[in-house]
Amino acid sequence: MTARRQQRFLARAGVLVLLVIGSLYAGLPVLWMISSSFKPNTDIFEYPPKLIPGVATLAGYATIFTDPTKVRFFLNSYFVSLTVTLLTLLVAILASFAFSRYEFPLKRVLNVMIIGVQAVPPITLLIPYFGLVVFLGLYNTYQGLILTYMVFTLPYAIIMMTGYFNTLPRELDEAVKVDGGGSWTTLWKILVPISIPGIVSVGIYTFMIAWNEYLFALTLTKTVEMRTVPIGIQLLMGQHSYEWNEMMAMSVLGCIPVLVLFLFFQRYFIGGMTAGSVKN
Amino acid sequence: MSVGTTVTEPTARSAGKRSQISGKLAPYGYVSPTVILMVVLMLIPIVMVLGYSLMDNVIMKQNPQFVGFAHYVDILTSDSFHGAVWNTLIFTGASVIAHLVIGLIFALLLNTDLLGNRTKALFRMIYILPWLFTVAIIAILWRLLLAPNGVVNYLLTSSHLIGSQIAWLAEPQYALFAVTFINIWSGYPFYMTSLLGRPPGDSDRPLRGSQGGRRQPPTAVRVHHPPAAAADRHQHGPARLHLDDTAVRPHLDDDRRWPVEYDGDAEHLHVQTRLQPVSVRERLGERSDRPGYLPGAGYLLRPRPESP
Repeated sequence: MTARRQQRFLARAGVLVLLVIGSLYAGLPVLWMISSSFKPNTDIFEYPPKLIPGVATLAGYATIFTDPTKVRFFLNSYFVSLTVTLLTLLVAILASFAFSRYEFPLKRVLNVMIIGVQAVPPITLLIPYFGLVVFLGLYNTYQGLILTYMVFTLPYAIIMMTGYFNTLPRELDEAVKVDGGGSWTTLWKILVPISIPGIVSVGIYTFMIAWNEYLFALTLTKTVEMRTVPIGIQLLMGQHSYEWNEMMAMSVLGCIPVLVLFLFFQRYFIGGMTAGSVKN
Repeated sequence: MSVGTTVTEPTARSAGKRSQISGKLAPYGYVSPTVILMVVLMLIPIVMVLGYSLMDNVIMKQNPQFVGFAHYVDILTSDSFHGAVWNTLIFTGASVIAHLVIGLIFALLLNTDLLGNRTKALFRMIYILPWLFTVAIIAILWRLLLAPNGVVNYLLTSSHLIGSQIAWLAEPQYALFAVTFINIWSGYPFYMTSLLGRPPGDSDRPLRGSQGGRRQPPTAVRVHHPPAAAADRHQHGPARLHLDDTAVRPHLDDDRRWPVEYDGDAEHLHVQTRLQPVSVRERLGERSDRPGYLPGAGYLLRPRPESP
């Protein structure tokens, strides 16, 4: 009996040690980022390096919050990401409803198209895309960025939402029909309210993609007041050569929205990722 | 954007026809915003890329000329392209393998039943961190860490694993290795969470106990003919609804798992599970009072907020 308990204790200690080693690999770089953001820039490469800064300062953060250009990066990112999230959800819910509840001739073709475009690496389309956006008059505008991000977020949003709708019984639709409601009513009054978990996870994932996007934000905007946070961080690098503490402070601030979303909606994050993966 | 099917009036034949047509068009209405967006901003660029690849003097210059597959020949015979393909293969292959291995190990560790849920939640949080960063942050962070006088070199030299500081990202023989390593760090959480499934302690019932994994209580149920049940009640006592995982059994019968009491009036359905009845009528407002409405034809049950 005691031997068994001892064995269990050892196993527990072993697992704990492995978990701690793993979390050093995952977490130390992040810890270093946070610690560097509180150091004066002169101490960044001090020897020997210290994880806990000898002199802690908020200078890095202060320069960001007092510079309207840098605050603008954040406002741009919030505006673009939130708009993309809302619009993607709206358009994806409509399309998923059709894919889940209707049989129509072009369904298969559209499905293949939506899954197929996911496989195209965005960077290969950059050059004609740039030309197209300039042609449409969307260069250096919010609309240009928002529509672009929607093209990237829609395919997986539709796939996930269709999967979610497929899990909801069709008898619900029938019940609405019996009660005299049309398909529009079925969708917005019945299916959408009970799909909130699926919608939340699609929304979070969409927000995360939009917030973190770099390549197209760099290509499709020109002026500094249109830049988003990822570009802003990179711009710091050119502007004042290597204000490391400021770059780290901006990085910390830049990942806070996603981190907060993750903390509050963990279960949707993880559960929702695979929600649409089961096809029937 | 089209609105779906209109309500069929049994008496008006033309209205029925119209609803049939609009019923056929409805799915196209629903997918049209997606299709327009995808065609304009995805298909057209793809076609443009294919077109450009066969032409000379495009994009920046006037007078494009058709050159056939000349550019493809150029690229396929160039050494730098071979080098790039080779590097990409190494980068991708190593990343995928490492992602799977690390993701699987971490997922297994996090799935242990030797530790409490809180401890596991904390570690899961830490393990997922790299996923939350944008590429710009990852790039800058690792430039800081891997700088010649950075912290990685300090750790490696002070533990005598390497003799002198290495410019990991600047020297050709190390750069690919360093970039692959960074990519592995930033990418494994996705694999880990995919393998992990739902966080522990998230389901309503404990993981173990039932053999077939977790059972979720039904999210919706529809009651077909409560009046019939009322009649039934006089003979057999309180009617019971059968609630299934797939949510719906269109008839009333005996069920031991989620008993539902029915007091004989369609408007008062008492459900004694953690499900809460919401009638479709409630959802639809006044709409349901139209003639032809079958009383009690539809009910939705929602999970009840956790009882204290």
